[in-house]
Amino acid sequence: MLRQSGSEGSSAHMPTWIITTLCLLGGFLYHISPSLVGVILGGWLIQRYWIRKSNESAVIEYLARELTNLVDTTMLYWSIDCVGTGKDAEAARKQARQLAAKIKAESHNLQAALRSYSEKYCGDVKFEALCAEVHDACTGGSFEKEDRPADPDRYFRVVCTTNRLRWKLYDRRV
Amino acid sequence: MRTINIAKDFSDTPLGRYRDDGQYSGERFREDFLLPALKAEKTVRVEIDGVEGYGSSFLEEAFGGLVRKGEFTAEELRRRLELALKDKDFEMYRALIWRYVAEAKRE
Repeated sequence: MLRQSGSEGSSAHMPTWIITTLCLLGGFLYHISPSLVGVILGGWLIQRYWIRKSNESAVIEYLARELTNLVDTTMLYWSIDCVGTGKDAEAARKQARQLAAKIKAESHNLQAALRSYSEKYCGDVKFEALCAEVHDACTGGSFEKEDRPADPDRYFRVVCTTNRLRWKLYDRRV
Repeated sequence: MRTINIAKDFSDTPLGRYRDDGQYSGERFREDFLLPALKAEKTVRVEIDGVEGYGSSFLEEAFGGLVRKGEFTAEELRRRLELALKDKDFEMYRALIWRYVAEAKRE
């Protein structure tokens, strides 16, 4: 009998202290829940922002590396002298042909990557005009001409235009 | 209207400015493809995508050359030439072509 009444008491009637604690906890949660939701949501948004910025920064680094590769290849291309008829001139022309194909591919890939970057991260910033300038600097003039002399003056143009694009990209970084 | 698809009708690897630079140069494209089409038809549609990429020298000679050689004015070309592309990665080349046409001066 005693055991029966004891078990009935614990299941049907909670001790007062538990009820009080639950009431206090409920009241506490009721009052802090807006702040709690705010903190969690804010934290989530801030984390999302920083993850996005971190990803964007990685993409910018990649683009800057691609830009450097393009400049290096272009510099090498325009430093080759293809004038002449000897064995050396033929070797120079062969190397120039390979580099020309590489420059075109690198420039094409760079502008495709920049377009994708612009669409994903900064729809308001357009890179087409600068890309066109870079492409023109790298592949204009006597580009792909068989008996082309070296053109060191083109260095300046290539470096200036690519740097303008580079700084525009770095401007986007936090 | 006549349509020229550069990749299919000319070459998917166009390169060089003058005929001496190779079989698929800008000069050859202008003289053998673009000019006859523009002389025969009121409007010509040139599909520029599908190739491995263009050098500026090719584009300037092929399109800017039309103005430099006195065949057409830039305004005329704006009216009669349509540069089409499906691949957005080729938009830069379209912008470059119109720039070369606008900047070209009659020789």
